Amino acid sequence: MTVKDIISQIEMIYGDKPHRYLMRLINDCLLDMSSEIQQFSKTAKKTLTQYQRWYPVKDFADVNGQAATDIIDIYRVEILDSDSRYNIIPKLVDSHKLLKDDTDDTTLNHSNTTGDVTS
Amino acid sequence: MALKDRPNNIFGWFLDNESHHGARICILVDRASTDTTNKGGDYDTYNESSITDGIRIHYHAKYPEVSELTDNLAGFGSPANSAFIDTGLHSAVLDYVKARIEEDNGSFDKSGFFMNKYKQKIHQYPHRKSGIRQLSVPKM
Repeated sequence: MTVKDIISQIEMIYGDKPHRYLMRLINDCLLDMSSEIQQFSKTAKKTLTQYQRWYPVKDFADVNGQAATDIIDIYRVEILDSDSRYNIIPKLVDSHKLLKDDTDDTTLNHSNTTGDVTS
Repeated sequence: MALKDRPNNIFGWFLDNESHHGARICILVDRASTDTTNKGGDYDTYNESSITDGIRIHYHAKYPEVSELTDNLAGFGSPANSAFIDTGLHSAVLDYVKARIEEDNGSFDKSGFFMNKYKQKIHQYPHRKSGIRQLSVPKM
């Protein structure tokens, strides 16, 4: 079904409506659907950097090279291995414990989780 | 030195949504991979050479916006047709639009009726969420 089909059906019932208004409502619907059904999946990449612990989500780039600003929920992370294949890595469930003594913020991004500096 | 030939044994990640820097991913390396006296469970920052495109994330994304009358919900967005909505859900889009129009017209009863229809459709599709549950056994 195209946008034109939807607008035609709506105009049959409610009469003429500005297309811009109807387009806005359709886009509102798409946004609502995105969060409700989470059916649309994408991938994005970022360079794994020495001594960098935190990677802002907005810095990842999708297949178009655009910043991944449309993220709702990350469900899998992979690391490139020496055979050029991506391997799934586990999600850590005890992040609060890991961050307990962590002073790492923006400047000390090469400290370990106990606060020691590794290099 | 962390070994990159078996990253799933060494690396771990978690998402920090509560940072004032915005959402960010933490990538950590198990210290047991670099320190043989360590039994594992302590994590450290990755300290080997950088790897271009070394991290790949999979995520649920927002649908791109439609902008043309010819955009088809069965395939739209960039790269071409990367986003799609199953044809069974297209009528739900109609219900949503009707609900919003009725709301703007001040007909809240009708608006609620169409919004309920919309919610029902998207939540029941593609898996049934209520009624009798059964195992999906493949035919042998």
